[in-house]
Amino acid sequence: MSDHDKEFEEYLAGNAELSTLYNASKNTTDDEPGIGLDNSILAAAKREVASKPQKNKKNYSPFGTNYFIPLSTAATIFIVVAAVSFFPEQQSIDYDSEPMPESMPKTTVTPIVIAKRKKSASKELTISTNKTEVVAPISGFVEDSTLVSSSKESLNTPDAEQDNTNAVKQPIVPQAQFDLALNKKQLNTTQLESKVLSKKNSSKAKKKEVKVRREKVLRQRKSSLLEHESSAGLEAQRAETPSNTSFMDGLMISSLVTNKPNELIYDEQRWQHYSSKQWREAMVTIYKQQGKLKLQEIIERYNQKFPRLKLDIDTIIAAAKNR
Amino acid sequence: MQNIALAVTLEVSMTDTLQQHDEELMLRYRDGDAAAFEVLYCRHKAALFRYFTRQCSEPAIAEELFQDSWMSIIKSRRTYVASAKFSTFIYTVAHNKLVDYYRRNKSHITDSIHNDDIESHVELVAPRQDQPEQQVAVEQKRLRLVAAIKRLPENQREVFLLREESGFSLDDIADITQVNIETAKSRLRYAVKSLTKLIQAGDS
Repeated sequence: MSDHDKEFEEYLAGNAELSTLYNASKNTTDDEPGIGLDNSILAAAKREVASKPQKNKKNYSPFGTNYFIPLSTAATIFIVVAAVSFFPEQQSIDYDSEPMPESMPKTTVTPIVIAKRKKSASKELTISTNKTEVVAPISGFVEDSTLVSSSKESLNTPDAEQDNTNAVKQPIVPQAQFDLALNKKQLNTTQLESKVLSKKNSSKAKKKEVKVRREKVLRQRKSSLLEHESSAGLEAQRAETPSNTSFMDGLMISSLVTNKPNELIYDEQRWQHYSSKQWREAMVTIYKQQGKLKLQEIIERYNQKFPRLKLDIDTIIAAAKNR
Repeated sequence: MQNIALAVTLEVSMTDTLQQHDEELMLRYRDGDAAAFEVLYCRHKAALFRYFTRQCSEPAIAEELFQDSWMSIIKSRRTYVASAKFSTFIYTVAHNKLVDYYRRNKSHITDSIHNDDIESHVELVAPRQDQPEQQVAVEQKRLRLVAAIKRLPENQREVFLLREESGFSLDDIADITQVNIETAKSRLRYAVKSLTKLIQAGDS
């Protein structure tokens, strides 16, 4: 052990002159802070105690720091999963991934002939050949004739014919599946296009629908009148009318003028009390529904019977066109 | 012999009690007792102030660092936990303040001398041989020691001051200065060697 090591050991033991000398230097008053510094530090300490404790946000948060991160992570995962679950699947035309019908084996072996005919025709497409029958199960779109034809075309391959002679039961051709799926897609596309077109022409379709509905009502009235014609009550009225045609027209006019479609009373005496306006409205309707000839016939007849009406065909046609 | 052992035991227990008391005072201050802090401050202010004045060339800087250290202790009172000795806590704060100061003002630090230069420095501050009175000699030694301490390298000066001012063990010094114990011991060894050489040179 060297002298320095010995001195150091003595120093660590507290017996060194160095420590004694340093302790003597501690007693000088120059090595103490001033009174001003003491007062400022003590005043700051008292102010710190007197001040209200600052609200720690962590203490007032509903969740501590330990809960915040896992909670936010769980919320994020939940949102992502929910978004993925509810987001509609991307529809791509991938015929290879088209699901096969349940009754069909999922192997991709070539042609197809099933020797025995199955009776479940509602869910199967049957294709007859000379010797055998090809049965291709279809679900959902069996009744479409295009499917049948396309399936026939796709199934009538040389391989299929060869297999027909052997009458071997094999799974359906993948090409046939492809055609069936393609037709299904085309059908869906056609329906969609028709819907779009129908929406575009909705106004025209409505008008046509109203017209068809009116014609249907008139046909129903006529048929009901014919039924009533055989009854005893209408026999007398028919006797009074000049002809069967005029009788029917009268009933029609009556229902139109009174605006009561179910009123089937042929009473020309009551017509005298109808106003000219009511008559014109009825004539306009007749023109729209049955044309100019019928209108002309009716006007000639009832201008003779009721001269006061002065029904003018041109005026009525003009009124009908204005509407 | 038995009385001496008893006295030593009492002294140790008194020291423990005082240390424990420091932590208790700080806990009381944490709970709002300003008077406890005042006792604590009076107990440690001189040593801490010397710790800074011995290491800084200007007294104003020492006062600033001293005040900053106590303000940091005041502000951290709510989070204080008596997991270690209060003296270790306060000198750790002081060490960090000092290191921050060194980093900010590297050029203004006292010109530390290396071990190679200590001889020349000793020559500069060494007293004349013609000082006859012993009391004057001791005072001169003290002044030379204080001056030599300021000339020590920063690391050696700090560990020496921690050892002398608060009697920290090497473990505590290593904790405060955030180095391993061997490094702290080596620094203290060099500091003692340099200062002892200085004193002996002055005597000769």
